[in-house]
Amino acid sequence: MMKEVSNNFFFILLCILFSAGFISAQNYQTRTGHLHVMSSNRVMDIEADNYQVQSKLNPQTGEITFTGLTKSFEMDNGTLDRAFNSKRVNLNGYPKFNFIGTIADPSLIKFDTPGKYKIRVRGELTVGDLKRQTSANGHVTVNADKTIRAESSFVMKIEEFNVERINGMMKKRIPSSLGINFNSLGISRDIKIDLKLNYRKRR
Amino acid sequence: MNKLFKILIYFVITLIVVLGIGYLVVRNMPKASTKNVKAELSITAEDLYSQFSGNEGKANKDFVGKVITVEGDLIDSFTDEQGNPAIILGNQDSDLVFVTLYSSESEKLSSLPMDSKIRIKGTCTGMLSEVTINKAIVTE
Repeated sequence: MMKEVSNNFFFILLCILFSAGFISAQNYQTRTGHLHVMSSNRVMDIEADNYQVQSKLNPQTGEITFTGLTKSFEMDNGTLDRAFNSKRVNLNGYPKFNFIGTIADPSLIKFDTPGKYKIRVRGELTVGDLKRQTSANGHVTVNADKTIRAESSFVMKIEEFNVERINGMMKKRIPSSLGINFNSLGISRDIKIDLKLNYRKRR
Repeated sequence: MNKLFKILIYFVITLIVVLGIGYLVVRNMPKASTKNVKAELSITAEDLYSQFSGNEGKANKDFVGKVITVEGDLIDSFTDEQGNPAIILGNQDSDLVFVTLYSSESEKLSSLPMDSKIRIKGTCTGMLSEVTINKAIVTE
């Protein structure tokens, strides 16, 4: 009788320990992250938003990944948005962007205690066949309902040849009858990026 | 001389007005919308997902950028960062299609029970962990 009680006790204890470990090891995820991109030229700001960014955050390792589709971007300017969504703009070579990185010292974030924590993330950003090591500052907010919000704003300087490549692509796709000078009206080397991710625990 | 000057003035004014109207049209043109666009094809959520998971490159060429109608079971509903409704079409085993709807669809969506079969129309943007549809409306 005593042995049976003892066995049951250990079984329940193991279940509690296992489930506690499982819960704390659960990843956070979102499908509705927001990526705002802004580039300026001599005449206007070119802004675009993507509200379909998927992201995962592992609270144990600090690994953070996000990925999105280039066709999910909505340009702020209606004319550019129509040109971007037209069939003439073929983005088959650049269908996705992807970031895999790590939060420096994730143990400083108490994922079970509401609060706001400064973070630094370092990782690799891939757009089509272009890869780039990058890092950014941001902050993580642990809400009372245990959801997590991560935010970061940073400026990314892109290489001259990539600026020429993108402006060249736009020049090829946008009708020449519009007479747009892409040297002064194309994208600039500095791209301002704002990222907002509202995580909830994985289903 | 006086007549030539007048013609020049009219020409400059006309040019300024035309450029001004052109600038306003370019600045204020509404974004691309799928609401009044006829769907190019109709497909079930299961078929669409299997096309992308089978050969993503081919499916990108076949579906991305096109306005399509997708039919499937509504299994999850939430809102995105700009407050627009977002839904998942899928089955008991997996999430198949992720859809972001226009904010105007909130009321229609709230009347639909979970697990009901629905039909949406929107632009296919590709595949992440599910096939992704943007700028969608509920058609049925």
